[in-house]
Amino acid sequence: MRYIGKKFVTMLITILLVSFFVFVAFAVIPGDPALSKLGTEATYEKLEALREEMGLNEPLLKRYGTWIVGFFTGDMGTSYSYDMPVKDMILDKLPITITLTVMSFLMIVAVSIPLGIYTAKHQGKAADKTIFVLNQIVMAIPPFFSGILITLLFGLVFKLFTPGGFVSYTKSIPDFLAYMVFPCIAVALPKIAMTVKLLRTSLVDESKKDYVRTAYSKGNDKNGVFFGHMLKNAMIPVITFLGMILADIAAGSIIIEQVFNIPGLGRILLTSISNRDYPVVQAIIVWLGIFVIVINFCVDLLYKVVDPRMR
Amino acid sequence: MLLEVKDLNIEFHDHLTPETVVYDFNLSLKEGEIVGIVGESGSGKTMSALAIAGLLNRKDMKKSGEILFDGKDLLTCKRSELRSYQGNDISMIFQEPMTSLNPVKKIGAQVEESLKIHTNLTKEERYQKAISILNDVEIKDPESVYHKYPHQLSGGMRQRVMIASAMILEPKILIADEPTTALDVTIQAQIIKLLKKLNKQKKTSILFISHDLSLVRTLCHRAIVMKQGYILEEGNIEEIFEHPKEAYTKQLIEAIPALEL
Repeated sequence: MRYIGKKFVTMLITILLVSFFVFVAFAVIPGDPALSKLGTEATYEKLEALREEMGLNEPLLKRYGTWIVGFFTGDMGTSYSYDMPVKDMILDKLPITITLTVMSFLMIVAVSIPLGIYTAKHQGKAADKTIFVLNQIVMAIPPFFSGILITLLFGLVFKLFTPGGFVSYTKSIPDFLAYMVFPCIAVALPKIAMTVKLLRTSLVDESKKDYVRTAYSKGNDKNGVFFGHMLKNAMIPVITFLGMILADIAAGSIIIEQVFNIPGLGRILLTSISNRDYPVVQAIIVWLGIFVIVINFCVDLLYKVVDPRMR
Repeated sequence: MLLEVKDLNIEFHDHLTPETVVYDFNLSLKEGEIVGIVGESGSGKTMSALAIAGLLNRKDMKKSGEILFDGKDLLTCKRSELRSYQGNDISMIFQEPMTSLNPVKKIGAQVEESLKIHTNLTKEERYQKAISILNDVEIKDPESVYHKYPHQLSGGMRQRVMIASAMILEPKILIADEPTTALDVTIQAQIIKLLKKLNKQKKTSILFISHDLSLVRTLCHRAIVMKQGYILEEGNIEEIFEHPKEAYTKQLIEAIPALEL
């Protein structure tokens, strides 16, 4: 319990630090949001008035203070280019990106763990060698490219979905999920390959350890040794890796959203960056940061469950 | 005869050229007998022991000869048949108590694992048996050790736990591969005493593999001396220590540090 409390406090401090650095970074970047908002209509008086209105004349720390307090009380500022609250812009996109992340993550876990066990168990056999080669190929294909291939194959040839025909979850949840399956496959494929490889290596390493021989000496069969003894040990590095993957696919969903024409967080992030719409960019980056930090926190807790030596 | 090994040869095939590690190994073990196998590292003593315990990979090596347990040849019988003996009639403890226990499983679960595999006892019955065997191997406060993890115990305690998990089904044969090498001298003596006690109480035959002749002398009834895969000499403990036939055995005996100064 004390450990959890300590970790939790560290997590909060990290979140504050991340938000601070993001805020400072955007304050330091050259370019005046007031100027870019006014554009060619800018006069000195108008500019000063707008800067005052936007709070840009306040000292940096004070601005950060107002912003961070606002951030955690639900007011994430106002978008420069759309003049609407950032919160409203992000909130209805969030479920899309979360679905993309969680669904691809579930695919990764559901496919790679059984496959990793299978290849380790049939080490050196034809199936293991075939999967090894396939793995290398799949690992080398980036999601945006496999996304194009999937669109071509499942969208245009097999007509399993309409490319570009995204259905919002507000309209129909089943249709929304059905469309999301394919981008999720594109995101999941290379990560599945990596996880299979890691789990296989980890299991093969475990199989050489002394406790495995002890387990066999008690009359365990191969399944008993694999599932009763080796798997939990072999999962320890895999858990770290899955934690990193989860953070990575959340941040990396931006590209796949473009390929599959999904109006998620990635879409607003890209347009906001090109419009220098800093409040929106800041909010999204801090949210992604919070997500990554929370995932790490959960992975740390999961460690305690799996590995008693960590307690 | 409980166990009879006849002309066992072990040949590895995991390299380009086959490598023979054990030549014409013969051994017989009676009920309640403690036989020591001594030799330097690389003499083939551990390989012979692993072969008897059925722990050598059948794929990577060629084995010829016979290992007869209860009239069954362990080298050629079905895998499932071999497994029904392992942990049940033939158990093994190892050199490294630090790494021979699964680090992420509780002591209790590891001690009663053989019961889970070979019997239909209920959870409560298994618990009772585990506690009683932990008592037999002289672990203090077995109820709390039951719920601990290996890294929370000392090396000597872990070796006791290993012995408990190997002895829980009261096997006919216990194979002990250098069980005290990784432990310090006082703990060594305790473990040897414990093995002696278990041999008397439970009539378990012990195959004791060691490079330490003084331990073999205090524990074993008979001994086999091995070198480079061959059996050099075999006989009763008195014979071997008082009238060694081979020069190598003499050297080994002379190498025992004298206790009196």
